[in-house]
Amino acid sequence: SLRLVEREADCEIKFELEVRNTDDTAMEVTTAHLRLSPEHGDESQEDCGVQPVEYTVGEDELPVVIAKLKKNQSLKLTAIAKKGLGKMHAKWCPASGIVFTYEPVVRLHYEKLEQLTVAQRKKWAEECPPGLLKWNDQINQVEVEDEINIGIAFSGECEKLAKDTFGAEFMDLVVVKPKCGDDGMPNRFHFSVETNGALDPVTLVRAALWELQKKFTDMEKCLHPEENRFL
Amino acid sequence: MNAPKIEERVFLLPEETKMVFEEDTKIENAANYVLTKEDHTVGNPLRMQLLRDPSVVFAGYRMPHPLEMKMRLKIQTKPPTNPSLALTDAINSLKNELKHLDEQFEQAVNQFREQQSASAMDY
Repeated sequence: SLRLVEREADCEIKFELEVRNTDDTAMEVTTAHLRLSPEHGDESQEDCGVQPVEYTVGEDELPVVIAKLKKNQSLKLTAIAKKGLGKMHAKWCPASGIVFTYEPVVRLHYEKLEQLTVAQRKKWAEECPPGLLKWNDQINQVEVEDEINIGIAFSGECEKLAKDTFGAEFMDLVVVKPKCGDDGMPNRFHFSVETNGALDPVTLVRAALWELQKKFTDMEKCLHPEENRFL
Repeated sequence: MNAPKIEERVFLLPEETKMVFEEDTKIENAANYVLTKEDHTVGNPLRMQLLRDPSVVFAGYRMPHPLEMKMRLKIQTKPPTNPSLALTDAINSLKNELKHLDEQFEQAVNQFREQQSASAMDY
């Protein structure tokens, strides 16, 4: 039987690992070598259903590497798995890269571009970080890239380059603004979610939205009419 | 030696309550709400949503100390509403937005998976 704990935070699962390298070559010790202990303290851990996350890409299994052993080296340890939240310690946070950017609207100042020579325009378009502007040989003009690289759109690199090369009045040679709706507020954003492999990104987004909803629901329940003359 | 347990950043202690309501005695139609074990994650959206309400005169939040997970939310309204009603409305609007986001996200994920399986079958 599994031990009942009062809070999730007290839940512990014990694993054991014992590996000896008898080969001549170096050996990787991975999470696949972890074995569930038969018992923890005085409670049995059979059928608890906890195992290291198996991360597979296509046909390959990629367990997490813990250590590497030379010939005749061995490793023996006990490991305790505990549940936790990213707020308690960053080791429990499954998110590794979360990026929010508004959708950019890129506009070139064609009047000012006419003031520059073809060679100057070409040089500027080619020196800018790729992903925002491109050079069109047929019409000898700078054009906005079809697929904008959002990572650099708002960085200001192209504007800075224009200012340094041609002077301060050319700083608005290209203007990048967020795409706004009728009310003047940005209405489109890009959100990119990267996890460290413990969860997949879709589950992470679902869980985040659910957790936020739960927080607001719990708050609503706390508004008691008895003590609050406003309610 | 004096460090609190890390679980205390998330879970309420037995003597703590989630929300404490304090009516403001000096200002009319104003109230303070102290939320324990909450931070900018709920504070900022609540504040932004309250400010979208035209009958809210003042809405602000702060975390008095970074080592204590407490958040104070101050709301001042003008008639016809009152702070608690404004807060309930704000919470409901935010919940609806999140539900909407959830549904749209599921739709988009299903669309993407169908596209993927359709293109996989083309081979």
